[in-house]
Amino acid sequence: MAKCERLIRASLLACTMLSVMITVLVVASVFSETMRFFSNVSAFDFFFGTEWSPQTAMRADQAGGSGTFGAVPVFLGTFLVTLIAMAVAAPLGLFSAIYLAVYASPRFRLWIKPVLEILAGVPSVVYGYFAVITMAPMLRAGGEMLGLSIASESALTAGTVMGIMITPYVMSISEDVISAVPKSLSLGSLAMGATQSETVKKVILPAALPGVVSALLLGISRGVGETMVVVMAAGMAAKLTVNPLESVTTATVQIMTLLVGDHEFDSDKTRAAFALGFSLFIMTLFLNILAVIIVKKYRERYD
Amino acid sequence: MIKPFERRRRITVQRIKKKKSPFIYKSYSKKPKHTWLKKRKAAERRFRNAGLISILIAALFLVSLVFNIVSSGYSAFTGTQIKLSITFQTDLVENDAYRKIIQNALLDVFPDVKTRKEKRALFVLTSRNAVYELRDLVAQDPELIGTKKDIWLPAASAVSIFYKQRLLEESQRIGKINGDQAKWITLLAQSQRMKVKFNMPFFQNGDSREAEQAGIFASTVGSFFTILVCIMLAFPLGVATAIYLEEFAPKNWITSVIEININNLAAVPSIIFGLLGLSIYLNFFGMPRSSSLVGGMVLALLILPVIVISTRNALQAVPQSIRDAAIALGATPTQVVFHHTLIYALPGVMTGVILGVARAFGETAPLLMIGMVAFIADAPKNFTDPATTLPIQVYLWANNPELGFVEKTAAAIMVLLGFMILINLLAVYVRKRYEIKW
Amino acid sequence: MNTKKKTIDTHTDNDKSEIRMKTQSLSVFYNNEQALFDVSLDIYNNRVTALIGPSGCGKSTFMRCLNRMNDYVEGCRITGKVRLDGFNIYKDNVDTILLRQKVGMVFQKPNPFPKSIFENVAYGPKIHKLTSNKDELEALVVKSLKRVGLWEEVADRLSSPGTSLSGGQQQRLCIARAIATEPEVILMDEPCSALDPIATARIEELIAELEQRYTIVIITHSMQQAERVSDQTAFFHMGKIIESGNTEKIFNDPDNQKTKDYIGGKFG
Ligand SMILES: Nc1ncnc2c1ncn2[C@@H]1O[C@H](COP(=O)(O)OP(=O)(O)OP(=O)(O)O)[C@@H](O)[C@H]1O
Ligand SMILES: [Mg+2]
Repeated sequence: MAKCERLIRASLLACTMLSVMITVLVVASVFSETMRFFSNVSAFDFFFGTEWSPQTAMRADQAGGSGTFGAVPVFLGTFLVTLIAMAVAAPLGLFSAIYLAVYASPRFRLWIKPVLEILAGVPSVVYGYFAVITMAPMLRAGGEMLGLSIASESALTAGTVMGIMITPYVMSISEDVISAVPKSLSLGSLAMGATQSETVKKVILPAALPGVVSALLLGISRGVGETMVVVMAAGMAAKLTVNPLESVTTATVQIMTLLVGDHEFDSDKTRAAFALGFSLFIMTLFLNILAVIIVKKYRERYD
Repeated sequence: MIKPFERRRRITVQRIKKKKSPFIYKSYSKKPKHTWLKKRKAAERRFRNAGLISILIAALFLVSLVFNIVSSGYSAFTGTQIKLSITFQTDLVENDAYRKIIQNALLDVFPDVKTRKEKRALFVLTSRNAVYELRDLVAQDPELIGTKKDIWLPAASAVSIFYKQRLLEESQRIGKINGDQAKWITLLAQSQRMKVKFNMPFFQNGDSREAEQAGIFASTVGSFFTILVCIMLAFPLGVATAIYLEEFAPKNWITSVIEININNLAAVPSIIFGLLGLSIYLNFFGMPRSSSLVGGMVLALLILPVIVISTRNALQAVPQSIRDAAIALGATPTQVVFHHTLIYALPGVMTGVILGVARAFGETAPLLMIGMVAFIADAPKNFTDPATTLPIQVYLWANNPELGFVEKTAAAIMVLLGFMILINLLAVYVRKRYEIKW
Repeated sequence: MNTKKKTIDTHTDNDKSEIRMKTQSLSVFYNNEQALFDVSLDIYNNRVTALIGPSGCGKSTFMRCLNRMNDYVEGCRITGKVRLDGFNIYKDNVDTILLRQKVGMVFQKPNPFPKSIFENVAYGPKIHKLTSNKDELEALVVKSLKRVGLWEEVADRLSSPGTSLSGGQQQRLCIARAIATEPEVILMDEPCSALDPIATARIEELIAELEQRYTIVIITHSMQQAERVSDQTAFFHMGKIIESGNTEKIFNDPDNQKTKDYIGGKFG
């Protein structure tokens, strides 16, 4: 009996160790490749260089010369697309969360919630398809009317669709946070003759601010790491631009193009993908930890 | 020091007499006179409308997404066939010249086609796969040789779309149908030689270069293989980890570090797991590239933290009093967990696992990185065969500019979304039906 | 009009005061479950009206009708009339914002906003734009804090959060917040239930002072408190008013046996 007991416990512990190993493995594998990359290419060039053309590096590989791995345009593109996405997702997500938490009737909520959940569950490749087939032509037509020429693959297209993709995510976190504000506070405000919107703006949102901020941070982290939408709709060319109408490239797109379909592994080109991946990892890790810390601080205020 | 006063003293101070204030009557009215109140009301309306509009935009997006996909994809569920009087000439059959047989049949219908250019246009009306169908027919029934028979053969994708959508006006025509072909198709249709039929190949075949023959069978099987591997790895590992952390682990800094670790793993972009699969599974362990085994292993990493977190939440929801009751009856710690806690938490655990699977099912990027982008015509037979998954099939077809593949992409998305909805409904069902409310 | 005559008849000793609010056959339903049955009550100007009764008898429900806070309770439906200065506040064209500015409310649990003490009190005047400049606003805040006797205690820390005060101070802050909007009627739902005896005594004193300027309705579970602070008392039971009238009469010589039992502590 006691033996059996010990056996079960030991196997549970073993599983836990394995899970932990995996997390370590993820970091270690990406990190070691990154380090090997930085032994060939200077980290300074990578983080501050403004020219990104890893493909030429491939051709020069035989001669042992390294290509140009200035990742600034890549990060700039990531930043631009994420910014556009948040410009869509932050207002849409926040306002819908407020509407759902404060104004919506139970019947309306009952109907609209599953719709938003479906939206959150749609695979990103479907959003990518939608970006290419519907959003890009639509934006281009809209741009033409305004006299703007929008590239068929553009930061705007990818960012808009990604924003819509992140919206339900931001919304559901914000709604939780808003609903967590004690009801007595909003009733107190309403009983003084404040309108609902004044109550939301002056009492609920200030109280829920840390939670809302962390919802936005998590949204950003989702956007930074999102792949399929940008692969299909943002483009490949690494341009140093902040013009949302042009095609840009992002870290995830570059990782994909550098690694997919490439059987050979041991080159600066593939290792550059790992360096990008590692940067991505650090970025999202930072955003997530920040979000968690903010939320924890905020919980303490009410417990 | 304030002393609680006994019976209330009558207050003798002169009460400030309030005049009945008539302004109340008016100022309560909904059409306010004060501009400040007007402004506040307007702000309130604006704010409320902004919320409603935001939700409607999101809902509208979903509607337009679904409409878009269904309207461009539903036609892929039907295929078009052409009836031809095939003469199974013995010499041609023996030489395996089925193409010639079909061409002859077409020329029988349209005897005025003379020039090479016209002929070439005529001969592409039927699918290239019609040849294989004829060959199969003959193989099944050798008696056919030397006879003449009316046979329905698959039409080419462009013909199919042209016919199904009745794009008879010149301006609407996109792609490959020229004026002659349009005329021929119209004639065929008038002589009852064309029909629209449920597109079985779409559900039976793998990928194909010919749009009319491309199907989702291989990728669906690949998806199931991948998910199977993923569940078999992530489910026991995740649940065991959660049980250990929640029920047995001493609460110290090591466990809290582990906890933070796992929580952060849940937020790592999925593409990073692709990097890991590439460098560890493929390069280090040399596992078979593009296989559903490796795909499942990568996805297992992805949903492991999801399962751990949801299992822990479900375990936490079981009240301590239940554990105490079992312990008081003399149950050992593992008995408490496996006879009580875990059983009561199981609906929550299952819901978490199902939602994790839903996520894995729609995942694309990490699988692309381990080479599951290959052109897969045949369904994988085991876990090490090269495979592809449904979302990847969508991605591959979406990159194919040919018109026939556009409807296929949308149709594959419909199937993909159908699976997603089924999985989510299952989760809802498990939660509603089995969840214990404490 | 009938009801008015009747109620005035029963309160002959109060003939000089006028009726500020009155309810006429007020019934409240929560999702088809009736919580109040045909309740009619008069609330007199510059008087304290106490609502007493066993738990769940509908006191809070009744009170929420007086400033339409029931609008925010899902599934709540109301029939009958609630009049403020003769005007039915449940009419369609009534502006609940102005209504609630005139009929303030203090809750059972102190609920200061997570803002500074100053901002808590200034909140009402700001949203209603009761003052035209900063000096006026400050004066109003100080006046309100002084009126609830909190000024001496918080004068030097106006910018610290309202939640940092003690329970009794928080409740007085909430009262200050309510009177800063210059209401005419103040509703208090068990304002002392979360407080210790000393803080309770402080609030009771405050109510006695506020009575000179405001019309006050208070819910309490303490018979002693009702007797101490109120002029009028209404006894609720199972969603009906069993008896209402002069506090002294209700406590010393109730007409109804149930009232007698409740006040005597036989049930509730
Ligand atoms: N939001 C609500 N939804 C449904 N029923 C409610 C709601 N609020 C109150 N009730 C019901 O209405 C009845 C009266 O409740 P109310 O809160 O007015 O009682 P009360 O006299 O204030 O009690 P207490 O002294 O405990 O505060 C109760 O039966 C209660 O269950
Ligand atoms: Mg109550």
